Amino acid sequence: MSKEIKDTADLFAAEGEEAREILEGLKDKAQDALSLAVYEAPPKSNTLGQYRYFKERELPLIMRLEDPGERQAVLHDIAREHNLGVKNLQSALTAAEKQAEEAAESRVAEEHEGEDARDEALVPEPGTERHEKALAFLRCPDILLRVAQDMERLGHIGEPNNKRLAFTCAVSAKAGYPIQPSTHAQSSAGKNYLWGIVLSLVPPELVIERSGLSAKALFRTDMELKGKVLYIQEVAGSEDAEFTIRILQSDGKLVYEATEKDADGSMRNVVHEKEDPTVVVQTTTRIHLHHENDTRVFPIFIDESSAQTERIVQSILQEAEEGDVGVEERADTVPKKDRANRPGKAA
Amino acid sequence: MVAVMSAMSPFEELRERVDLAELASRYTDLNPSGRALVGCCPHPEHDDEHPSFHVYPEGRFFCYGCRWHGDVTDLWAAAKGLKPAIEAALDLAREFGVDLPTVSAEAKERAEQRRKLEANYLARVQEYHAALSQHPSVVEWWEGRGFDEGLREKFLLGVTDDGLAATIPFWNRGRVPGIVRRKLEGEPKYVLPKKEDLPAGYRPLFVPGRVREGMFLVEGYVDALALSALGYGVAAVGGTYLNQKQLEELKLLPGRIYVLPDADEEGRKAARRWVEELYPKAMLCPPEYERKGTNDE
Repeated sequence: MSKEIKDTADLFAAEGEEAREILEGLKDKAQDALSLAVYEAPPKSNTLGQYRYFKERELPLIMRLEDPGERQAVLHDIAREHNLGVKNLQSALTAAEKQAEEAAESRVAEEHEGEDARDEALVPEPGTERHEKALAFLRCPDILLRVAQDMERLGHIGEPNNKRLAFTCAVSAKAGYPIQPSTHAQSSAGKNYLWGIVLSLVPPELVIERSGLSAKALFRTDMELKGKVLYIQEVAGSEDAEFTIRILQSDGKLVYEATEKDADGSMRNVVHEKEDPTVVVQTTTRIHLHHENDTRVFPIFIDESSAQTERIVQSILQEAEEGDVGVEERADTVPKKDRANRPGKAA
Repeated sequence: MVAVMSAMSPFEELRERVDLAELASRYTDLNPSGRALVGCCPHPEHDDEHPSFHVYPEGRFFCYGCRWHGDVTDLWAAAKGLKPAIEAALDLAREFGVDLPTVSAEAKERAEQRRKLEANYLARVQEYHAALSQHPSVVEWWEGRGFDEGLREKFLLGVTDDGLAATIPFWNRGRVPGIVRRKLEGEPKYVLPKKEDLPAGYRPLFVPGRVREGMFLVEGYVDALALSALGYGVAAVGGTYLNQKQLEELKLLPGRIYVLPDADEEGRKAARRWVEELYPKAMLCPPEYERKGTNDE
């Protein structure tokens, strides 16, 4: 039996010049990300799942198309392919386009305001209206209730306690007292949707999002982990990093010494050190994490009841009827928490 | 394309815009020989009677008689009696009507330092390439991967002095900003140049040949060398993690990008992320490298 061919280096070694024939064939079979996403969409019988899938997976890709006419054409193709109403999809696309337009305008405005203005946008200056608003929000006795209400307005339905728990965990790193969550539910039950909404309320520079981690990735990363939320979308695929995550959660820092080769070929010992506090957000379809990691986390179980599904369906129907959360409303909601999390450890 | 150019140093811009073969043919007659064009060395101090001057498609020349090597700026500097630095670059730009971006004194200094550093790396990979003659087992290792003498010479593939690792110049559009070592035994297989040791301060894409439309994107350095050897335009990420600078570099490449994943779970996942980040520019090829029926025997 010949050796397994797993990459183009193997292919070249095995086939030499003949490899071109195979490579040209692979080019012919190539597909873009949207075609792949459409192919992998939930079955047509799962209308709710398809609508959510459109918003989470297909819409972000459509928004990368520069030509609005092309976006429309793709939208109609998807509606036909998934057997979904064009009106609902159009509503989501229009909202996303307005949001992107406003974000672009805001970026241009910020660029014109110069470096000082950009710093000011990040940290509200005492005495300014933004600073006052941020402090008023932080002093609000029912801050978590208000957060849950805002998340509801952003499209996350029900589960008020999970909303509050998740937000508390997310801001706990910045506060210096990290609470480590693990989020459990079946596939497509809304684990990552919950965290997507929660983390949209946290300043983006405090969130590090990864689909997976290798064993030593956290030791060697150039990223600053202190005060950050490390969001690992699925534990599956990051099992090698379980030990590192456990140490990060328990010891408050990572120290790793390795012998590495210099550019000149000589060997030297290098110490990689990462400082806590970091909140590691993990989502999984499993009931438990690795047993040693499981004792270090605060589990959040997503509501998978039929009553919760009914609430979501009602919300989608209402949204289809009345339109999505207004762009202005969304823009107003997100920066509010964004501002509040920036003054310091008060959050 | 304007954006790409403005982000480059004057030397990089000239490498992209001035055809080395055309420039060299002003000073010597060139004839095809394998993948290179060969002629008598045009260096004023080398009286070359037997053609030993090789011009490679990546925009690099090497004289096997006097060991003179470099790019369009080096050739122009020698031909015109200029120092192979910014003055020669500006003179060459004038000759070919290339508009170079306004360069401050500080930027000139940085570009020259970077060029010196890259020249040092290029000299070192040439030594590593020459050291292959001392390590037949490593030559055999390269041969086993399909890299014959011509390809080893073209890509300046080599071996470390201790014979424990094969070496690959970190090619990036004709420049060598670092050296990749591939251990023959033990893990990790690849020892990469550290970010801080790279002249740009980050790890760029590995681009072993010329940039052209419809390039392939792969994970590994040897994967990329293999595709380049077959005549394709190709870039390699050097693993599964695509950094922001590499992503920006990819977005500026002309035409479509065809992603060829490694046929394992990690490779498939990474490739899927890349095509999403590069949508609609990138296309994902299925990792079906086996000929149908070959492994069923």
